[in-house]
Amino acid sequence: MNYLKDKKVYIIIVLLYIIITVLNKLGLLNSYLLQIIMLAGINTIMTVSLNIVNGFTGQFSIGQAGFMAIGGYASALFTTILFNTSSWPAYAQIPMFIFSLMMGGLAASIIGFLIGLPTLRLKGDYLAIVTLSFGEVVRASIRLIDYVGGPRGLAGIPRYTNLFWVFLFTFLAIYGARNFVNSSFGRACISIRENEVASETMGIDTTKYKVLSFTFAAFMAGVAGGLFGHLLMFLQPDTFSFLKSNDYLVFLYAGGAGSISGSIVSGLVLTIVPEMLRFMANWRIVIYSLVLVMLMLKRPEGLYGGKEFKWLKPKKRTVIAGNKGAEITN
Amino acid sequence: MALLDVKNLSIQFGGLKAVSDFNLSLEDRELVAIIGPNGAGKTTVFNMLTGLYKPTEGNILFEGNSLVGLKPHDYTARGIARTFQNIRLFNNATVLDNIKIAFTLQVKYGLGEALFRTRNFNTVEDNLELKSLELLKILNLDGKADFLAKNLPYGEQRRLEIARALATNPKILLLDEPAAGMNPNEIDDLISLIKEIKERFKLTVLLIEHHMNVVMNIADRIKVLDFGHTIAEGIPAEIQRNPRVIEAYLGGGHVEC
Amino acid sequence: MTTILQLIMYGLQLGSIYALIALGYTMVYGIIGLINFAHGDFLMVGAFLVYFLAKAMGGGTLSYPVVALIIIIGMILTGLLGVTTERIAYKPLRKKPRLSALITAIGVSMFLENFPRALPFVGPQPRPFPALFPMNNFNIGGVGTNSVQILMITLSIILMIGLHYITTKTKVGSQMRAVQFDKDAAALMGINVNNTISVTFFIGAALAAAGGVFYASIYPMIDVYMGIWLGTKAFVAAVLGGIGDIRGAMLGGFIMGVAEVLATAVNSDLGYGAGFVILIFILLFKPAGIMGKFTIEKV
Repeated sequence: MNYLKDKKVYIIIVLLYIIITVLNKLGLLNSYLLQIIMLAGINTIMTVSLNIVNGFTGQFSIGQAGFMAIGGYASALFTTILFNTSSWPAYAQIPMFIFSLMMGGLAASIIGFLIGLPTLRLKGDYLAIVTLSFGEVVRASIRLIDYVGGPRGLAGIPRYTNLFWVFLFTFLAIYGARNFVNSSFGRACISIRENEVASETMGIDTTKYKVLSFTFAAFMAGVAGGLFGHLLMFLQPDTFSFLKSNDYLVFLYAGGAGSISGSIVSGLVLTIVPEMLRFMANWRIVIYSLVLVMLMLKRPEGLYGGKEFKWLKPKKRTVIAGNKGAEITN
Repeated sequence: MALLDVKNLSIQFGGLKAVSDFNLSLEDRELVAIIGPNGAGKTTVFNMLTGLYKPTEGNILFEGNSLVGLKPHDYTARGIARTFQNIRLFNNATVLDNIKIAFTLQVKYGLGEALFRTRNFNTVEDNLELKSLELLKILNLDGKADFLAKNLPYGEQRRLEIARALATNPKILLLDEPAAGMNPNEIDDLISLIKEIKERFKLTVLLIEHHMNVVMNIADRIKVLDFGHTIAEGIPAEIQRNPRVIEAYLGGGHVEC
Repeated sequence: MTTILQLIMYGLQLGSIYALIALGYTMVYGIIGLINFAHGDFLMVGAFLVYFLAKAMGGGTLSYPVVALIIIIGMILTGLLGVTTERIAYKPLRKKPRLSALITAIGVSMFLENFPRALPFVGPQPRPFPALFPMNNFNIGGVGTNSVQILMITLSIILMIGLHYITTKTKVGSQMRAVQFDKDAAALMGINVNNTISVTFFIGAALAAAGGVFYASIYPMIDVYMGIWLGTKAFVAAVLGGIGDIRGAMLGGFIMGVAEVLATAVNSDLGYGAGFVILIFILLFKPAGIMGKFTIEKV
């Protein structure tokens, strides 16, 4: 029984996956809605990744869509440009897809590392501006590269992303983020957010951890970009403008910076609800923007600021039994 | 050989020479206090001794090796820890996490182990929590482990600063006005606390303090700074009678005890 | 050589508009430390207001006093919009984490773009902007130019000189500098901090409106999204020059304008990226921009 309680979250995730699949098979959930759900998962990964840098490490990066673009194009490079995997036998296609996602993540994280190393010494808003510029430079550069379709975009990407992969990678992103945050790596990042001088004085190489969190987040965003490209089957550089980065900023701070739960809730809700409001046509974004302003005025720390679902909280490792000191209850 | 040997340390901000020719030799297990009026450059000395400011001249030798030019975290890794006069805790982290953060240098597992929570990771984290709680108990903060640091009362925040510095496993502990803002009872507790941790962790202590009863009670030696210059140095009894010190401190009159 | 001079002329023209808009970013940042994402939209609102005012005046060729009047009305109304925005969306968050105000700024920006878009008489389609100024082409030493171009550069420079005068020589200017330096101390000195911030927003938004009108006079098409890219580039200009510094915003504006025009001449896609690349390099070597002072954090 205790075991089941422990694994409750995993069971819920599996059940949710089964329910959505069954609804879809029964025709109660059309492919349009299924696509929205998958986009919500991808947006959740993006928001969680931005949370690592902005929410937990306290840096102010606002060009996350740039990493998504790099990941998307890099993974499409393997499935579409270098190899035409659609013509491969079925058993070889999926491993190649996963490999291409990893390459997307890797490419984004390498660029993240190279960008992070010199720029993370900039403080606060200047870092924000450099990251914004970085995102725009990525977009402008892709427009210049004819090899990947230039401004017209890259079409013909095979549709490998499905509900299963979205579920798996969204789960992995959340699980990875939780474990990162609740480890000495994440705690070092939090200490940088809280007080950089004190952090350095406690023996923490702040530059190293800033670059680490930036690179880690870039990896996640790169994988999300790969999933995105293989879902829409088309990539266009202008999709990844700073407006897209702004969307993720909004998701992050509306949900609550420094709360993984907040990123999950806002990634899902803020993707799905505006789609539900399509019938309002042009007024949809007007209402969205008003709700956003009101939310931030009412709860400046975001919906889940300072809160976390139980599953995402650090594990209590010891209990203090009277004055007998602590004992391990692993 | 002295544990810490500071030679002709000077620093200049723009045209202002904040500290000139500061010399200090700390023997193992010694407790030396730096006193002086506000703006004398005491905290600036601490900032140089922890790598936060780079001295314009002079050298810092720790166990025979020069530290000048290293990053602050290297200073800590080699065994110099400090507290801050204006408290600098990790406010939105729990008391326990504040300690765990300071233990980071001693944590040995890789990123992969952390991401997949391997057995080694769990063992290390279990031990880490145990050690952190033990440390909190010594500082009498174990009941507050789950509080956010910002929610602690002032006196406990100062103790947490000390606990956090101890977690980095220092050889030398620099305390920057640990008694600031405390009432006489709290000051008495602090005096015994400093004596206790100095013995228990085999520490060498360098202390900045304005409260003369703290300084006179626990310091082996005292250095007096005024306008960046060392104006006197000696055992407490000598300093109390030194006319230059009395003048710098009070502009004439007497040093309270 | 003439081609280069010709391009520099275009660059100065674009740069003077960037500079006008950059001033608003820099003033607001200087005084409340907020990157006002909605600032670009103020210029769009200004351009639309003048568009509708010109239409209301009967369109066609308007006399100089009327043109001057509608531009001034447009600037004042946009200025008031700036003040209202600050009061509603930013002021309540002044003591809160700074990023929450940034998110409301994004919200305001979305609202200012999409509300007119949803209105039937504005809508999403681009509109031709009326010619408010007479257009005469002439030639200086082989470099072709026209009266609108010269007028726009001149007016921009006059407005900037005016702003410089206000901030350095007037009482409200010294109040602005005091609030920028230390809000609490300024309040203790009897300065009305709220009013000073309002004045800053008013001036910033009014200058943006002027920038919007000038831009639309040179590139005569307006739509509700015109503020996004123009605003972003002006923002880069502000940072390039050293955000918070008024002279820096002007310098940054001209650098951005000239760089963009020159790069576009090489390749149209290069033009857009060029400004950002310059910015990244300048920040790497001068982390606070060209005119910005980098302060040492006191420990």
